Amino acid sequence: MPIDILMPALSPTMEEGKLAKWLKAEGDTVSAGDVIAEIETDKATMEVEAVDEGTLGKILVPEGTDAVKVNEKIAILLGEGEDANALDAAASAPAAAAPSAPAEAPAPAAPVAAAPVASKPADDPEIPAGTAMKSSTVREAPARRHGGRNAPRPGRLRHGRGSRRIPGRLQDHARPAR
Amino acid sequence: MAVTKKSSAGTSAKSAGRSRGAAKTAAPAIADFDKDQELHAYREMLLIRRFEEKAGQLYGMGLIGGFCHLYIGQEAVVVGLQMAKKDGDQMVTGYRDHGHMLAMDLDPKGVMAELTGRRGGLSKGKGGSMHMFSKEKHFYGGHGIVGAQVSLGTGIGFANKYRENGNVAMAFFGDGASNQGQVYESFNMAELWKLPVIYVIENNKYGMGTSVSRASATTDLSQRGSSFGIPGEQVDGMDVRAVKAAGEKALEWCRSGKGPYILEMITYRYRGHSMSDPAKYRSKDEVQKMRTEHDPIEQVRVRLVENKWATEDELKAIDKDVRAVVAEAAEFAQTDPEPDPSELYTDILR
Repeated sequence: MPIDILMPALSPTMEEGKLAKWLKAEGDTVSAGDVIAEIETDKATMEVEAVDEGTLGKILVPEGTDAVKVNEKIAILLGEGEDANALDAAASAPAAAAPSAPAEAPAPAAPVAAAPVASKPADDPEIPAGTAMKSSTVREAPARRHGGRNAPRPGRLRHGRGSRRIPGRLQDHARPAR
Repeated sequence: MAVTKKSSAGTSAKSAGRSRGAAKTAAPAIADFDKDQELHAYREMLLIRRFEEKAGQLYGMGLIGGFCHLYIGQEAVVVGLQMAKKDGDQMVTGYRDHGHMLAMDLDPKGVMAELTGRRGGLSKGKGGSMHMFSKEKHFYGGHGIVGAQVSLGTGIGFANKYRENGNVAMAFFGDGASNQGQVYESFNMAELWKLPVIYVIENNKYGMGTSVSRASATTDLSQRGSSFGIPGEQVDGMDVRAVKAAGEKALEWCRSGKGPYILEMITYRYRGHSMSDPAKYRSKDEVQKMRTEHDPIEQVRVRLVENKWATEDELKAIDKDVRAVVAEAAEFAQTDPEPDPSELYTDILR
């Protein structure tokens, strides 16, 4: 089963990048750890390493292409004993596949992860009764920092009667490592 | 007190008290592994490597938030020490910690799911690589503040001594962190109170974006304890046998009440400091040379084949098996649900 090679995100902020250079040609054998391409992110030129081994079957995005979206299919890797027939099938598969979900995976379970789960914050004694609740995932929560001038500053704890603690962005407290 | 360069601190308990030395002790002779040990080391190191490659891939797909620091290239350090330690000995390290957790027998699924922030993660998906622990497996984190784990590891050593439980704490940190002030405060207390702590300096030659020679006034990090009288030695951190031998010696030193010990593991990371580091501060040739001539896994593989302890097919079968474990972990880490928003208010100091 051919393996899709996707445009990787190589920084926390990268959404697209330039495929600067292919270091392997179609037909080259690739083993895990080989540098197969160079991409330019919003910050730097980075090397892309192969995770799987096989033969580089087809390059889908030629070098020099700008603004390649993260997770776009950039090449197809053929496994042991696979030939061009497998390639045709893979190339005709929809390109914008969900991250990681190979075309043949039965009923990909990925959406489950994103589905918001019913929360039960109502029993939190620090939230005044009648407060309107909105369902959200942990990942979306920091969006409250864009709440405007009067919104609570993220990362600050407000004390005093009637106030409640504001969960802030963890990054605001300590940013020791990059 | 004169610090004698050639004191026999490593061998004589009597002299240790007097000329306790920051002696550069001779590296122990490296004992060959038997078949089972080689196979164990091979499998454990391969698991870490494949796990890290997969983690890098998941990061590339945007499934891991924040930063991601891979252990690829350094596998022999943690596996060698894991083979030397006894059950009950603790480990604490910084944020390049996935390998330590796998070596400490934590479930790969739980580790990967923590990286992707899912509820099945070891910290319920709320911690990530910088906040992951397992009390049961004696793994004390996973820490984000550079060098902070050195003080924490010293505290674990203090607890071991206080409780007289005979355990030894291993505090891992990098060449970059070795210049942090709290490291030396810890060294002082550890030697003063003879705490059972091994300071494992994983010298991968680059602290984030700078080589150790550009950032450190002295580059023999094994001697960083000399002003406190803590013995230390440099170890070939790419050879799992050398790591195990040095670890056993250091563990024996600590367990017998002689105080802390420093092991400087000379190792190498193949990837950048984090996923977004293009690693322009070193040449491709240098990386390639380490990969082809010093790779810790390849060394074991060659010995296994040369000794006829495993055929290429058998090694392939191990690889396949390890890949299956990693694939299962990656699948779980993508399908397990994210934590419920109400979890924002749990497990925190209120």
